[in-house]
Amino acid sequence: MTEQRPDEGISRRGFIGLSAGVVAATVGAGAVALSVATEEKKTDQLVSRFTEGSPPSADPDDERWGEIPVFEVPLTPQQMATPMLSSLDVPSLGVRSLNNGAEIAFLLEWDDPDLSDIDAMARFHDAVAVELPTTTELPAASMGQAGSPVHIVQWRASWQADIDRGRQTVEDAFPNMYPGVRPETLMLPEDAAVFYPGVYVGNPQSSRVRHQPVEELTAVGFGSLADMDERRAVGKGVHTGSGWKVALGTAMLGGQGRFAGSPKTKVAFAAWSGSKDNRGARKQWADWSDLRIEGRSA
Amino acid sequence: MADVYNWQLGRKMQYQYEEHRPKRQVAYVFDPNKCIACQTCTIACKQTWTWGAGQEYMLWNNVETKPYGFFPTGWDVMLMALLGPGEWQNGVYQGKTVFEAAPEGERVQGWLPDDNDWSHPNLGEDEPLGVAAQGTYIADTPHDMWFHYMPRICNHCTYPGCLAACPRQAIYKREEDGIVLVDQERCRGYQECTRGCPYKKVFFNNETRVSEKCIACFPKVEEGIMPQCVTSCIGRIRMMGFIGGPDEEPDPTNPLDYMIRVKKIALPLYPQAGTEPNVYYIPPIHVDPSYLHQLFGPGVEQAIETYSTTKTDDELLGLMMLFGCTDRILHSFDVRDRIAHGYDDKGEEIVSVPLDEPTFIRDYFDEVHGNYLMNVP
Repeated sequence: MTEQRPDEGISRRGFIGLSAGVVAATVGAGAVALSVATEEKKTDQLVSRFTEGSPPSADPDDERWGEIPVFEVPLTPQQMATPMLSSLDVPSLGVRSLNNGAEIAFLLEWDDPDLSDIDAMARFHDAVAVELPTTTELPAASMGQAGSPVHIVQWRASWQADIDRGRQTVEDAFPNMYPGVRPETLMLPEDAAVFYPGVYVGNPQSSRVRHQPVEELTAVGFGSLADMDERRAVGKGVHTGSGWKVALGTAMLGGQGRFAGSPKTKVAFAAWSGSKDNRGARKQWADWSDLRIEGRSA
Repeated sequence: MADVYNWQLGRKMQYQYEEHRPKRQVAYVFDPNKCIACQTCTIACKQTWTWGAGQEYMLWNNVETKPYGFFPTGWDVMLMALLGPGEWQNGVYQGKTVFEAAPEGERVQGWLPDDNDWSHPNLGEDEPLGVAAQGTYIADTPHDMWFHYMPRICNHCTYPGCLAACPRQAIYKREEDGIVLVDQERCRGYQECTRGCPYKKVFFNNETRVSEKCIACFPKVEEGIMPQCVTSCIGRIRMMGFIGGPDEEPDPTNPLDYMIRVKKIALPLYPQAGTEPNVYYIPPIHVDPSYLHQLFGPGVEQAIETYSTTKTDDELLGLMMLFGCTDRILHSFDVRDRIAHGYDDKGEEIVSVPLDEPTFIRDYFDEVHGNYLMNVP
C-alpha cells in the first residue's frame, strides 16, 4: 500500500478524521469483545433463586448475583397521579432476586451517570424501590389500596452517602458556605434537639444516625406512604460510574402489612433520577411483574 | 379539583380541595408607608425560629425593596410570567390562578428556586425605579422615581398553594386559627410545597431534609399574643388579628375587618395567584399606581384615598395609633373622645392611646440658665 501523505489526495482534516475512525474502530472492537466476555444472561421471567444462608441483601458485588439471569423491567413515567413525571429518565431496571425461604433479596441495576446523593434545596437523590403485595387479592401497583396495603423497600443514594461518608450535613451540601453556629455547641444535646424539628419529632428523613440506606414502608394508595414500625430491610448501593447497582432485601414475615412470600407472587418497581429532579410521585415505575420464589427443593 | 369561592377575586375558582374555612382566620395588616426596612422583624423571627443548622438561608420574615428586590431572586417576576396577563373587570379577576394555570400533570403552576436564587436576600435593596436628574425635586405623590419596602411573611392563605401541591397532605391549615403548618413528622422533603407556594415562603431544611415555614408564632397566638415580627416592629407598621369570612358581615369593631373589609385600606399581595392570602398591605402612596395594581389588584386608588383621610378620621386614626401599642391581640377597638381603646376576646380593655399626644412648647430662651433651647416634638 502506497503511503498517503496529507498533500496527496487527502486533507489534513480528513486525515485526522480517518485516524479517529481507526481508533474508534479499535476501541469498538474491544468493547464488543468486552461485552461478549461479560454478557449477562437474560430471562423473561423473574425467579427468586433459592440460596443457602443469608441472601446478599446488602452486597451488590456478591458472586451469587452473577450466577443468575437478569430480568429486564421497562419503566414508564408515573402519570396516574399528580404531580406526574413528564419525561422518562430511567428507561429500565435490570433485576435479579435470591431468597432463603425467610428473606428475599433483589439486585437492581440501572443507567444513570449523574450521581445524585445529596438532599438539599432543589437537589434530589437517586433512588429505587421494590413493591410487594401483602394480600392474596392483588392491590393496585400504584401504591396499594384500602384494605390491601403494599410493602415497599426503598433505597436512597443520600442515605447510602450517610452510611458511606458519615451523616451528610448542610456543610456537605454547601461546602463553600459559611455555616451558622450549631445549637449543640451552645447547649446540651437534648436542649439543642428542639432546633431540629424533623429530628425532634423522629422523622426518619431527618435521622442523625443512619443504620441502613433503605426505608421500609407501607402504603394504601397515593400519598399514604408510612414507615413500618418494624424495620427489617437492609441494602447497599454502589455507583459504577455509569449507573447504580443496588442490593436490597427484607424478611418475608407476613402480617401487619408485610410481604409473606409465596411461590407465585408479584413484584413492582420504581426508580428516581435525582439529577432530573425526580422525587416522590415524579418517578418512573413498572406495574406488577410475576415473581416466582423458588424453595429449597427447586 | 373543587369549585371554591375566593372573595379577593370576586369569583369562584378551582382548588385541589373543597372550600373549608377555619373557625377564625389569622390575618395581618402591614403598612409599607411606615416601613424603613430596618429588618428588626427579620432578625426577631430568625433569632426565634431559624437559627439552627440547615436553616441558614431561611427568612420566614424578610423585607425586600420593590421593584428590584426579591427573596428568592425574581419570585414575583416568575409568578407573573407563569400566570401570564390577567385583567380585572369590575373587581372580578379574569385571568388564571396558579391552580387554574397548572399544566397537565401538575397540581399548581409553580417553580422551584435553586440555591443561587436563595443567595441574595439583599438584592435590589434601596434601588429606585428611575434615575434622578440633577436638581430633581419630588413635590407630590405618586413620585416619578420610587422604591418601597415590602415586608413579607407566609400569608397563611385560605387556599394555600403549598398545601395543594403536597401530594402527602403533610401541610395542614389549623381549624382554630387558619395557621398553615408543615407536619414535621409527615413531610418527606419532596419540596413540592416550595415549588407550589407563589410567595416562596416554604423552605427546605438542608439539615433535617424536610420543609419548614412560618408558623405565625402559634405558641404566642395561642396565648393571645401577637407574633414576634409584629411585636418587634419598631416602626409599628404591623397589626395581627383575625378576619371574618366572606359569608359574615364585616365587623367594624374588629380591627382587621375594619381595615380590610370596611375601610378597604389594606389589600392582599398578588391576589391573582388565587390563594386568598391573609397578609394585607396598605399600598405605599408614593408609588406608581400601575405597579401597585399588579401587586395588590383593584382597589389601590380607593385604599390610598381613604388612607390619606386618616388624620381627619378619628376612628381610622385611632386604629392606626393602636398599631404597636400592645403585644396582645386586639379583638375589638373603639375611639371615644379622641382616645383609642383596644380590647381582648373577652371585651376587657388591653390598651388605650390618645389621638393627641400631650405637648409642651418651651420658650426658646431659658432665662434661668441664659441659653437657647431647641424644641423637639
